[in-house]
Amino acid sequence: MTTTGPIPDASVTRAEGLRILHLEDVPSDVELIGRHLRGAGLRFISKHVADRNAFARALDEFFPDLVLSDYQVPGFDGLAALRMVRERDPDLPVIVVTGNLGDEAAASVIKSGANDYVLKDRLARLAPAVERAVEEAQQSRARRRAEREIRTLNVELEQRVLARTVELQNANRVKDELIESERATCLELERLRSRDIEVGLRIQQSLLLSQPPEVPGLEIAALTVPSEGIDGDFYIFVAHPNQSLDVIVGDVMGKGIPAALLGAATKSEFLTALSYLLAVARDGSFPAPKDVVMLAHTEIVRHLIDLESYVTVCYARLDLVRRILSIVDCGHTGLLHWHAATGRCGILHGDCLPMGIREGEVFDEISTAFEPHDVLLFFSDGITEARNSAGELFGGERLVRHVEENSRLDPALLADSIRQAVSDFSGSTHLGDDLTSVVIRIGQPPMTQARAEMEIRSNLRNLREVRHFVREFCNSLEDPVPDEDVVDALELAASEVASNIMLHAYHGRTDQPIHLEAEARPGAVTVMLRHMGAGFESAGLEPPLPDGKRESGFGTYMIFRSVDQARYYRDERSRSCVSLVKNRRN
Amino acid sequence: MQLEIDKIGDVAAVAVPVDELDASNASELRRDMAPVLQANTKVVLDLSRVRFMDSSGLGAMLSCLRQISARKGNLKLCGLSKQVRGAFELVRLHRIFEIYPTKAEAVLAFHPKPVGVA
Repeated sequence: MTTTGPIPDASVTRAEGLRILHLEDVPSDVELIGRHLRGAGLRFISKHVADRNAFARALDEFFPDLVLSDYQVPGFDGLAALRMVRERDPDLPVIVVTGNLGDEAAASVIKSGANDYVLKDRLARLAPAVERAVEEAQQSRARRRAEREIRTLNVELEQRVLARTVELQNANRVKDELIESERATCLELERLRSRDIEVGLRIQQSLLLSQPPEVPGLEIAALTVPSEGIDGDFYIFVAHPNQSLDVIVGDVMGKGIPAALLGAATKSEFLTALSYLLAVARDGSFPAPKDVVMLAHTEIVRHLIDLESYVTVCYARLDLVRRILSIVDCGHTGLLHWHAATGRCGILHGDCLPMGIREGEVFDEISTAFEPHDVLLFFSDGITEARNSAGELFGGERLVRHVEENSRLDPALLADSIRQAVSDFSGSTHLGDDLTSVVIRIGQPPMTQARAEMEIRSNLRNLREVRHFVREFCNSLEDPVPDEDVVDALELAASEVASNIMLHAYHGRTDQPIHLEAEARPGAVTVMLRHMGAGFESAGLEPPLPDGKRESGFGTYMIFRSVDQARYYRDERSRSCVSLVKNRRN
Repeated sequence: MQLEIDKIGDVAAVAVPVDELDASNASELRRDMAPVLQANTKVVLDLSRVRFMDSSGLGAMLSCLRQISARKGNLKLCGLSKQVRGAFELVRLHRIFEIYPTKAEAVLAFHPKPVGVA
């Protein structure tokens, strides 16, 4: 084995140049080739081997950068050497340097993995081939390194993707659980909300909406269609004994139970104000609507302002005797009045502020006359402010037209036809706001068939006169003749009232006046007893059923049990008045 | 008032002598009945002349029942007109009193015929 240059070993560094392992059995060729390479300016150290064993050892120990190999070495050959190299390092460049090589052999050399081959008689090609092969090997190594790195990165990436996927799957599971629990919460809320709505509806039905009373000479219908749940629409009917009716319709700002409660509170404030003013009225007259509104407002304005709410109200009084309608309109929708004489409608509007806007607000009343067969319609803004799909309002004019076209309908049917019209207009049964309407048709004033009156003194001996008066009056009636039971009952009630007046209102004085009055209408007989004595409370309360343990005090109970209506009030001349109404047929 | 008392054996049948019993005369009836109720334990109150009775009259009836019950006696009513009966029923007093159509029936009710005696 010969070497050129320093003795190669594993400690030789790349700084010393290219490390070439040379397999060649002809020493002169080794010399020649080395000279050629040096001549071409190549810096290198080389190790020369001439057989298989030395070649194999050198591959492991010399760390060549390049292998030059003869094609034919005794006992060994270039192709075997090539295979040996490739087994160890796919990138180690191998150039076959040979004396002669046929085309077929050349092809198999290249196929077996040699980088190039150079013929010994063309050694000028060797140096460039070496440089190219070394460069290619570097590139190939770099590529492999990069590929390895990419593979590593890919593996890492895959692992990270896997880890992230697991994380995401966990997150998804948590999210699903959250969604599920949120859905359960929503259902629970929905359930609570619908319970709210149910409670609200009950409040509205029981506290806010009264049943229209039976008033002779009037047909009344009230209709409320709640939207989503409830709001604070309310109405109050108060029938006074002297043929007049108060109708109070209100709408509380807002929705839901708060609005409903506020509606109930406002309603109760009205009733309190009304009964207070009735109780203190010296002249026995009814308080004016504006006074009732003023008092109720005084009581509630502070609360409304604190709660940042307000109430629109229309307070109307129908005086059936004088045929006068008086209204206080506190920011409400006004009152639609259909005139039977002309077939046309007008909307009455006041200009008062809603309740709860300003303390010390003064409320004014406006009045108008009405005639038999006229129709009055109270309505909520849920009607006029209903919108169709194009966003248009139902509006007052449409309502007026509808009433003019349907004015002949019964009040209940008219109210329902309005609901239907609004529903058709808005194209849905789902209303945005409550729809409240109260329809009143004025009838003929009740016809009085017969009338009688007399005055007696407050002597118990005159109770006989009272009974005689009632019995005679009833017996004078015809078409139909009142049932005997009806006469008995009215006689008993009148007698009981008269003896109460003598004993309690006049405290036993026997010379005081008691005025008796009897009136017959087709359906009922009314007896009124008027006096100047103290009013007695018992007429307002139904006492408990006598239990046989007491020997007195049945009187009031018997009065209430005998007639269909017993009422105590002060008449227009400040006299105490007890009116007894008995339907003519039991 | 002038009560007509008819003694039939040990039963005192008292006819109320007015056609209307009300706040003007009920206390008079109470007063005049007191001695009768003291003297008898079996009393029939005959109301066949009474056309009308008010709450004071009913009160007087109850008062009589109380007084005789306190002495272990018994009071029966008879001869109620339709209207008077109506007043009793109005306050449920018909459940408290023993009421018979006629005086004879009321008196007999104190002495049921012994069974088997002709």
